[in-house]
Amino acid sequence: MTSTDPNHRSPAAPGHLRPYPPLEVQPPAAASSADQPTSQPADPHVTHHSSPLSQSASSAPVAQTAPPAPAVAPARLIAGRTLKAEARSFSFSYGTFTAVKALSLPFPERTVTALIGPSGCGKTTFLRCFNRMHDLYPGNKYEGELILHPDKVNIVGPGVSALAMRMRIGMVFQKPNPFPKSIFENVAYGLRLRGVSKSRDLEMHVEKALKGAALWDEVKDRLKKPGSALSGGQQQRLCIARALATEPELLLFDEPTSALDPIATAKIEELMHQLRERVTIIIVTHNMQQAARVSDYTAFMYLGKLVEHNKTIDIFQNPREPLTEQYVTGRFG
Amino acid sequence: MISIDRAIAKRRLQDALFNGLGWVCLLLVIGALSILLVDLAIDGLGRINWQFLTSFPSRRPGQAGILSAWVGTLLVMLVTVCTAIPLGVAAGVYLEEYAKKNWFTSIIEINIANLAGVPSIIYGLMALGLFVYAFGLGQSIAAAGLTLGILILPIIIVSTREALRSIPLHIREAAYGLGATRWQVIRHHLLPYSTAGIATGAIIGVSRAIGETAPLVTIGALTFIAFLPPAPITTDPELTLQPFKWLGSPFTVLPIQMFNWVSRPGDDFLQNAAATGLTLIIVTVLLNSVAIVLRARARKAIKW
Repeated sequence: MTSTDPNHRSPAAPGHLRPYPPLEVQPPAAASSADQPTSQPADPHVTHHSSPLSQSASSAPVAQTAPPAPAVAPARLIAGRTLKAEARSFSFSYGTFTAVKALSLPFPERTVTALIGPSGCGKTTFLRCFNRMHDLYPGNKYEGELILHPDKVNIVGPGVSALAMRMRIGMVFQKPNPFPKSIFENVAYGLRLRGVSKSRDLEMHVEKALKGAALWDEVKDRLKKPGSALSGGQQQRLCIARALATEPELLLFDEPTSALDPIATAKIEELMHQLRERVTIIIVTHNMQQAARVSDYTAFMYLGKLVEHNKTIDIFQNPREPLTEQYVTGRFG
Repeated sequence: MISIDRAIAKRRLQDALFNGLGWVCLLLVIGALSILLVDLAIDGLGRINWQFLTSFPSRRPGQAGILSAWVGTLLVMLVTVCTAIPLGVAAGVYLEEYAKKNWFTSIIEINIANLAGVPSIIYGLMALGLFVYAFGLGQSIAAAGLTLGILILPIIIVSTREALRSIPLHIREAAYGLGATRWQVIRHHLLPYSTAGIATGAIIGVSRAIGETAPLVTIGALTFIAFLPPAPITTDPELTLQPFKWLGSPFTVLPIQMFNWVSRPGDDFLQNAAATGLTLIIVTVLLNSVAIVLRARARKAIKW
């Protein structure tokens, strides 16, 4: 784990889990203007059980209240909200092709931001930069900054470990991709990676994650059955539960419903609506109705560039750019 | 309309023809194999008995047996499996998961594929120089096991890589996305999901190695062995542990014993040879059944 920030917590340390919801980030200067009601973890399970998990959970806020080092400026606000992540003139290239061009974009905490745009506009490529998925393949280059708040670590910075970033940022893929293991093991895998090994802890967190993904009632009697035995929509919710189990700060959705039928899609959208209460979400979608339904902010991208970013309602009802208007009204794309 | 009917009839005929051709080919292959097996069984089955399995070779065909040969075969195979499978799987994992794709790795890839086709006697010559003389292993079980291990290494590597390649990319991404390291992805996902493919490679490899004669003759396997390799524990004159002493022992194996008897005059020795051949087939099937059970279990555990 490397970071330039001395205040940096190290959530990537084995067995070091954070509770829902993502911790409030309210630097002293911004505390009064931030509009969030204090939402301490309501679930007594999380705050009071005596596993190593809760110990690390309760120690995290202590680090939070410590005065920020002089170098750390108060997080910027957008519409009275603290930021969770932020792109600062961020570019990404495959070999010689620049897929994302000098993008600057804020992601306020506990909101849903939708990335829309025609195929090939770089929105999925951009999304995958957040958990450094491109690192798996050779010939890629990140430029600029992709900041994760509150510790302002540059996700793509030199010396920042991709592993540590992936520990904090969860991802749900386009195609449901459960491991060919049991439902339980699918959800427990991220926890096991973080050093949780007691079966009681695992069971508790798996149940919580499955409930969080609105799947618990459907699978509670068959946790030992393979994940592949579920329907497509259930598999996608299983993948969401798998990502939720490790309590990520930021959750990335890459066209999560493009392989699902309308009923399964509605369930996932409903779920996203609930998840927004406790985690910041970025979703890539081809479906403009979906963007309008689930997101608070929408960013319209075209040819690797950001064309317009605004509150979703404004993007769809009152776009500033003619290109945005043409796209959201279906006249090109 | 008529032309459509005619076109359909023509394609049906083609379908039936190909179906028939397939059956004929299958029958030819199965038939040849069955005749071989039945012939071997008629000649040799009567000779397989306790005495045959527990006696050393002899000048008198009626008293001869294959004890040293089947023990030798099992021990050589033990060395082969213990060296070739870990090495081959590790090499396959490295080439598929760690190695950068450049001209150097492409050359290695092409060469591994070619190695699988090199005549086994060439491996024998190499092993004679390397294992027997350079490493000073002598004409021992260890040298023989390593020789056959090298021989089947390409098969294991290629099947490991094929098995790894068949695992969908999105499964790897899911695991990496949760924060797994490369080794964790390999250990928790790739190896378990490719067990069936690797087991198939192991079956093919062991089946090839167990019947090899030429490389073992080249490194100096004996044809007449009237003793067993030293046991791991001796009781005379006092209790001694010598767990690896058998590795240095001279040896013979079933195919060499069989070859030796085939070349002798007299029907009795031919009968012995047939019985040895039958034993070899049984030993092969028994050894492979371990891998087959492992493969069946792996396939059952992994539900895509």
